[in-house]
Amino acid sequence: MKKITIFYTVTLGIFWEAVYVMVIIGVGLVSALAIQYIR
Amino acid sequence: MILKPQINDIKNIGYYLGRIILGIGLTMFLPFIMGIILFREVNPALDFLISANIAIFIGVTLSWLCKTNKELHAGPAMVVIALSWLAAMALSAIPLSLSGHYKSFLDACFETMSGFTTTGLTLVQDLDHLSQSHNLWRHLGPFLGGQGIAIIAISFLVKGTSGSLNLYLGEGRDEKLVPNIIHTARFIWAISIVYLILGTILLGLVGISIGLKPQSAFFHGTCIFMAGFDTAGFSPQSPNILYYHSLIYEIVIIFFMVIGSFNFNLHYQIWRGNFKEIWKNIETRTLLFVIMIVILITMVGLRQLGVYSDGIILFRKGFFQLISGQTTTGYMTIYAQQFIKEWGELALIGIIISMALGGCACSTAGGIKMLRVGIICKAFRQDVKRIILSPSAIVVQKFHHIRTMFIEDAQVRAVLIVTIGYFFLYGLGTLIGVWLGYPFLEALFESTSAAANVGLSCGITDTSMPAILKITYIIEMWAGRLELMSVFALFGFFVAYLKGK
Amino acid sequence: MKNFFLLLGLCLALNISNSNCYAQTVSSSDLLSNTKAYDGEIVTYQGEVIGDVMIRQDYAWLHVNDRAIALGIWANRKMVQDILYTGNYHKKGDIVEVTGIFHRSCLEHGGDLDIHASEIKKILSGGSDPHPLSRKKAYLGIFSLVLVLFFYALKKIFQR
Repeated sequence: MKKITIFYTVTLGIFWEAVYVMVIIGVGLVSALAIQYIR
Repeated sequence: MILKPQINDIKNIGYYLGRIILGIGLTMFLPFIMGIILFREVNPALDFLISANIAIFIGVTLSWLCKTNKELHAGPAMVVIALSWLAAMALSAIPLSLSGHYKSFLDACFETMSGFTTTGLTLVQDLDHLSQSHNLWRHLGPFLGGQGIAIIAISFLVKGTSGSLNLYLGEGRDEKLVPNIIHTARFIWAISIVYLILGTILLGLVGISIGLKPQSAFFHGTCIFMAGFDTAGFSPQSPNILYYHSLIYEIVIIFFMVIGSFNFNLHYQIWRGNFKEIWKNIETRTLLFVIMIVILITMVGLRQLGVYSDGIILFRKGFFQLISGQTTTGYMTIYAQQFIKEWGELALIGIIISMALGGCACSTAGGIKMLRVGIICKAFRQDVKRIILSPSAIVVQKFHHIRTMFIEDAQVRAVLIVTIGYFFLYGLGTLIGVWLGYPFLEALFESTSAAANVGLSCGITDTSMPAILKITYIIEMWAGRLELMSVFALFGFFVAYLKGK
Repeated sequence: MKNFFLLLGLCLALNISNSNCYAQTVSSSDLLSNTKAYDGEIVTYQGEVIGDVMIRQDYAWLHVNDRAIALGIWANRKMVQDILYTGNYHKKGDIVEVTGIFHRSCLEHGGDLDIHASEIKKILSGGSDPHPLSRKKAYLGIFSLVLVLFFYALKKIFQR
């Protein structure tokens, strides 16, 4: 694989990992707000 | 009939153990050099020089006396791994003990075992006055232990692939990223180094923006990254992550904690362009599912008692501690006593469950692991279907982990045995804690934290705790990190030596 | 007369000063064991400033360690101007007395446990904490290095 391709793929990979983490944070935030305000 | 280990097996173990001890000694030159050149800390540097020489002497002597050309088989490899973790603990404790910041050599051993196993329970005294050399060593432990002592050995100290493979497998990792084990080891290093650079820069810049001096910001950045990505939980200052009082810092740390708990194979797949894997993988799916359940338990528990008055605060405090527990990192933005005094039993149960289940397999995280939890859930589903459907129906259950595979009974059996082993560890530590007078839930919390290599503490871990409990937690951390098998192999080896023919 | 001395003794015992009638120095352990009781109360807390003083626009975070636990103090930037030394390996930090409102879960700071300082008094100035070279360690270090090199050389000769 060419170096530029590796760089591009790895960057995209890190991006998708960050997206997954954002989803988890999102789940946490929504749950916290919902549980706090539902009762 | 138990076969008695032969002299060649023992020599083999001695040889590889010697090489690994040599490696540990050589790594001590890093804080030595940093101490002299960068940190201007002469006495700490000397601590590392003395300790390095001791380790190098022992390592070279051992491997010289036990020199052998025989290949390392699976059983002896597990013994090497089990012993090398104990050796790493003891030798790495020497410089910490010489620092004067530990009440006893046992406390220093507790610290190094906690570091190498990426647990994060700490017994350091006066952390805020500890030298940067010693603090770096505290954080380097998780970075080295997180990759795995076997990985270090394979990459630098040991030649030949079949012995290397057995060492790798003996450390509780059974994912071969690529067929060649040496390339697998190199890739694990590559991921860690890339994220180390990224993490240090990011945390350093955020550190400066929140008011840290540049030298502190980058030193903290390196330390926090190493302990965060390697899901350890050590921090350079005593208030742990509460020191930074910053939402952004916490979010960045959450990122590194979560990806640090990913299977290295998952990183490999994603970094090779297989982006869909992150959503299809049984571990990431199970992790998301488990987090949703434990969030519910923990946050309802906190809400019931009105611990936090605001939704955002509930997220920042409740969620951070929970993610820290789930990824088995152990970073805290509350003080240990607040778990017991404020959180209440329901919320604590949520945290305990998240710690017990842990992160992904073949990562730096501990606990039962998401792969096992996922397989157990799928197997359960399969068995329920078998009961419901007609007896002649053939029920198959698939799961996706890099490849799509069928669940086999032998696999489920292996998974359940290790899971039961972990529960046994959690229970044993709890029993000893309660026997020594600690309340049940606290004993369970701390024991689970140790055996699952988490590092969250409710206050039991303290220099005043009984030596028996310190030793218990050391054994739990050690056995938990090695997923029990290598520890059993070590005992089996001794039994075979004594009773074998 | 007797009543006067009793009252004087009582005042001294209660440490009544100009700034605050209620505040007696509390320890970090005391605060953490009774977070709900102290929540929102004015407390006086004493200890060494450690780590960095983090300036955030008009305010600053500092951490004060009373040899047990380091607590976060949120103070106006002007209050921290006198703090010259913060504790680390090379330095002993200034010993300060902080008076302020204790929060178990500060609404302003994402639920952090902190003290919003209304007054910071420097009790004792810090300074450099020199660690003179330990001769014992120096000798041991050099001796062990020589031993290892000698042993390594011996091994190489033996192998030939």
